[in-house]
Amino acid sequence: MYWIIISVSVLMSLTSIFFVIYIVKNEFKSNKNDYKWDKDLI
Amino acid sequence: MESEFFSWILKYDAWIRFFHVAGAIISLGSVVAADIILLWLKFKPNMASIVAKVTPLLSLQVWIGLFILSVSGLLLFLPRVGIEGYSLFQLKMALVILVFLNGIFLNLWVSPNFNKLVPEWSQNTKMVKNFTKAAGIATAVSFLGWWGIVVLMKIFY
Repeated sequence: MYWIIISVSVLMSLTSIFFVIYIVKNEFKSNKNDYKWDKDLI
Repeated sequence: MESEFFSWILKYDAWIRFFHVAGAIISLGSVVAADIILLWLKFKPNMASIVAKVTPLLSLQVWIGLFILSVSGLLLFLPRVGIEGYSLFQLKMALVILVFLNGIFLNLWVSPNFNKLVPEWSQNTKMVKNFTKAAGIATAVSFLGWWGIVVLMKIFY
Protein backbone atom coordinates (compact mmCIF):
# COMPACT_ATOMS: atom_id res chain seq x y z
CA MET A 1 0.00 0.00 0.00
CA TYR A 2 2.87 2.36 0.95
CA TRP A 3 4.47 2.04 -2.49
CA ILE A 4 1.14 2.22 -4.32
CA ILE A 5 0.44 5.63 -2.74
CA ILE A 6 3.94 6.85 -3.58
CA SER A 7 3.53 5.66 -7.18
CA VAL A 8 0.09 7.29 -7.50
CA SER A 9 1.46 10.59 -6.13
CA VAL A 10 4.38 10.58 -8.56
CA LEU A 11 2.05 9.68 -11.45
CA MET A 12 -0.33 12.50 -10.51
CA SER A 13 2.53 15.03 -10.30
CA LEU A 14 3.80 14.08 -13.75
CA THR A 15 0.29 14.05 -15.26
CA SER A 16 -0.43 17.47 -13.73
CA ILE A 17 2.72 18.88 -15.35
CA PHE A 18 1.67 17.31 -18.65
CA PHE A 19 -1.80 18.92 -18.52
CA VAL A 20 -0.42 22.31 -17.45
CA ILE A 21 1.88 22.28 -20.50
CA TYR A 22 -0.93 20.87 -22.71
CA ILE A 23 -3.42 23.61 -21.73
CA VAL A 24 -0.85 26.44 -21.89
CA LYS A 25 0.26 25.22 -25.32
CA ASN A 26 -3.31 24.99 -26.67
CA GLU A 27 -4.83 28.06 -25.07
CA PHE A 28 -1.95 30.53 -24.82
CA LYS A 29 0.53 29.68 -27.54
CA SER A 30 -1.42 28.34 -30.51
CA ASN A 31 -4.62 29.03 -32.39
CA LYS A 32 -5.66 25.37 -32.16
CA ASN A 33 -8.68 26.12 -29.98
CA ASP A 34 -9.74 29.22 -31.88
CA TYR A 35 -13.08 28.67 -33.58
CA LYS A 36 -15.32 30.54 -35.95
CA TRP A 37 -17.59 31.41 -33.06
CA ASP A 38 -14.71 33.24 -31.37
CA LYS A 39 -15.58 36.33 -33.38
CA ASP A 40 -18.91 36.51 -31.50
CA LEU A 41 -16.97 37.26 -28.34
CA ILE A 42 -15.32 40.37 -29.75
CA MET B 1 20.80 8.77 4.36
CA GLU B 2 17.12 7.84 4.36
CA SER B 3 16.57 9.01 7.95
CA GLU B 4 18.36 12.28 7.15
CA PHE B 5 15.90 12.83 4.31
CA PHE B 6 12.91 12.12 6.58
CA SER B 7 14.25 14.40 9.34
CA TRP B 8 14.68 17.15 6.73
CA ILE B 9 11.05 16.64 5.67
CA LEU B 10 9.83 16.74 9.28
CA LYS B 11 11.80 19.96 9.87
CA TYR B 12 9.85 21.67 7.10
CA ASP B 13 6.58 19.86 7.91
CA ALA B 14 4.63 23.06 8.70
CA TRP B 15 5.59 24.56 5.33
CA ILE B 16 4.73 21.37 3.48
CA ARG B 17 1.31 21.39 5.22
CA PHE B 18 0.91 25.03 4.17
CA PHE B 19 1.51 24.12 0.52
CA HIS B 20 -0.82 21.12 0.83
CA VAL B 21 -3.64 23.38 2.06
CA ALA B 22 -2.72 26.02 -0.57
CA GLY B 23 -2.98 23.38 -3.31
CA ALA B 24 -6.44 22.41 -2.07
CA ILE B 25 -7.54 26.08 -1.99
CA ILE B 26 -6.30 26.61 -5.58
CA SER B 27 -8.06 23.48 -6.90
CA LEU B 28 -11.29 23.78 -4.92
CA GLY B 29 -11.56 27.49 -5.77
CA SER B 30 -11.45 26.62 -9.45
CA VAL B 31 -13.99 23.79 -9.06
CA VAL B 32 -16.48 26.08 -7.28
CA ALA B 33 -15.94 28.83 -9.89
CA ALA B 34 -16.51 26.29 -12.71
CA ASP B 35 -19.73 25.08 -11.07
CA ILE B 36 -21.04 28.65 -10.76
CA ILE B 37 -20.16 29.31 -14.42
CA LEU B 38 -21.92 26.11 -15.52
CA LEU B 39 -24.98 27.09 -13.50
CA TRP B 40 -24.86 30.47 -15.27
CA LEU B 41 -24.72 28.61 -18.62
CA LYS B 42 -27.91 26.74 -17.68
CA PHE B 43 -29.74 30.07 -17.42
CA LYS B 44 -27.87 31.78 -20.29
CA PRO B 45 -27.30 29.12 -23.00
CA ASN B 46 -26.28 31.76 -25.55
CA MET B 47 -23.13 32.40 -23.46
CA ALA B 48 -21.68 28.97 -24.33
CA SER B 49 -18.82 30.49 -26.33
CA ILE B 50 -17.64 32.50 -23.31
CA VAL B 51 -17.87 29.44 -21.06
CA ALA B 52 -15.88 27.38 -23.61
CA LYS B 53 -13.09 29.96 -23.47
CA VAL B 54 -12.99 30.26 -19.67
CA THR B 55 -13.26 26.59 -18.61
CA PRO B 56 -9.79 25.52 -19.93
CA LEU B 57 -8.26 28.26 -17.75
CA LEU B 58 -10.13 26.97 -14.71
CA SER B 59 -8.97 23.49 -15.63
CA LEU B 60 -5.40 24.78 -15.74
CA GLN B 61 -5.88 26.13 -12.21
CA VAL B 62 -7.08 22.70 -11.00
CA TRP B 63 -4.01 20.98 -12.48
CA ILE B 64 -1.66 23.52 -10.87
CA GLY B 65 -3.41 22.91 -7.54
CA LEU B 66 -3.27 19.14 -8.03
CA PHE B 67 0.45 19.31 -8.76
CA ILE B 68 1.10 21.25 -5.54
CA LEU B 69 -1.17 18.82 -3.65
CA SER B 70 0.50 15.67 -4.97
CA VAL B 71 4.08 16.86 -4.36
CA SER B 72 3.31 18.20 -0.87
CA GLY B 73 1.11 15.16 -0.14
CA LEU B 74 3.96 12.83 -1.07
CA LEU B 75 6.38 14.72 1.20
CA LEU B 76 3.86 14.57 4.05
CA PHE B 77 3.21 10.89 3.47
CA LEU B 78 6.82 9.61 3.22
CA PRO B 79 7.84 9.88 6.91
CA ARG B 80 4.43 8.72 8.19
CA VAL B 81 4.73 4.97 7.76
CA GLY B 82 1.49 3.27 8.84
CA ILE B 83 -0.92 6.09 7.92
CA GLU B 84 -1.88 4.12 4.79
CA GLY B 85 -3.60 1.60 7.08
CA TYR B 86 -6.25 4.12 8.20
CA SER B 87 -9.56 3.68 6.37
CA LEU B 88 -10.17 7.45 6.26
CA PHE B 89 -6.79 7.95 4.59
CA GLN B 90 -7.61 5.20 2.11
CA LEU B 91 -10.97 6.88 1.41
CA LYS B 92 -9.18 10.19 0.81
CA MET B 93 -6.73 8.56 -1.59
CA ALA B 94 -9.62 6.86 -3.41
CA LEU B 95 -11.30 10.26 -3.85
CA VAL B 96 -8.00 11.76 -5.05
CA ILE B 97 -7.66 9.01 -7.69
CA LEU B 98 -11.33 9.53 -8.66
CA VAL B 99 -10.96 13.31 -9.21
CA PHE B 100 -7.64 12.71 -10.98
CA LEU B 101 -9.21 10.29 -13.51
CA ASN B 102 -12.26 12.54 -13.79
CA GLY B 103 -9.96 15.49 -14.55
CA ILE B 104 -8.35 13.56 -17.40
CA PHE B 105 -11.84 12.74 -18.77
CA LEU B 106 -12.91 16.40 -18.48
CA ASN B 107 -9.82 17.59 -20.37
CA LEU B 108 -9.63 14.96 -23.07
CA TRP B 109 -13.35 14.32 -23.77
CA VAL B 110 -15.65 16.94 -22.22
CA SER B 111 -13.72 20.07 -23.15
CA PRO B 112 -13.07 19.25 -26.86
CA ASN B 113 -16.68 18.07 -27.37
CA PHE B 114 -18.04 21.17 -25.68
CA ASN B 115 -16.05 23.33 -28.12
CA LYS B 116 -17.62 21.44 -31.04
CA LEU B 117 -21.16 21.84 -29.65
CA VAL B 118 -20.95 25.59 -28.90
CA PRO B 119 -22.62 26.72 -32.19
CA GLU B 120 -25.70 24.54 -31.53
CA TRP B 121 -25.75 24.95 -27.74
CA SER B 122 -28.60 27.47 -27.53
CA GLN B 123 -30.78 25.27 -29.80
CA ASN B 124 -30.51 22.47 -27.21
CA THR B 125 -30.19 19.72 -29.83
CA LYS B 126 -30.19 16.00 -29.04
CA MET B 127 -26.38 15.95 -29.08
CA VAL B 128 -26.27 18.84 -26.63
CA LYS B 129 -28.71 17.02 -24.32
CA ASN B 130 -26.64 13.80 -24.40
CA PHE B 131 -23.44 15.74 -23.83
CA THR B 132 -25.01 17.62 -20.91
CA LYS B 133 -25.84 14.31 -19.18
CA ALA B 134 -22.25 12.98 -19.45
CA ALA B 135 -20.66 16.31 -18.58
CA GLY B 136 -23.13 16.77 -15.70
CA ILE B 137 -22.06 13.45 -14.14
CA ALA B 138 -18.37 14.42 -14.49
CA THR B 139 -19.09 17.83 -12.92
CA ALA B 140 -20.96 16.21 -10.00
CA VAL B 141 -18.08 13.74 -9.45
CA SER B 142 -15.63 16.65 -9.46
CA PHE B 143 -17.73 18.71 -7.00
CA LEU B 144 -18.39 15.88 -4.53
CA GLY B 145 -14.87 14.45 -4.87
CA TRP B 146 -13.05 17.72 -4.20
CA TRP B 147 -15.29 18.67 -1.29
CA GLY B 148 -14.86 15.17 0.13
CA ILE B 149 -11.07 15.48 -0.09
CA VAL B 150 -11.07 18.85 1.69
CA VAL B 151 -13.40 17.60 4.44
CA LEU B 152 -11.11 14.58 4.98
CA MET B 153 -8.08 16.91 5.02
CA LYS B 154 -9.75 18.84 7.84
CA ILE B 155 -10.21 15.58 9.79
CA PHE B 156 -6.52 14.67 9.34
CA TYR B 157 -5.07 18.05 10.31
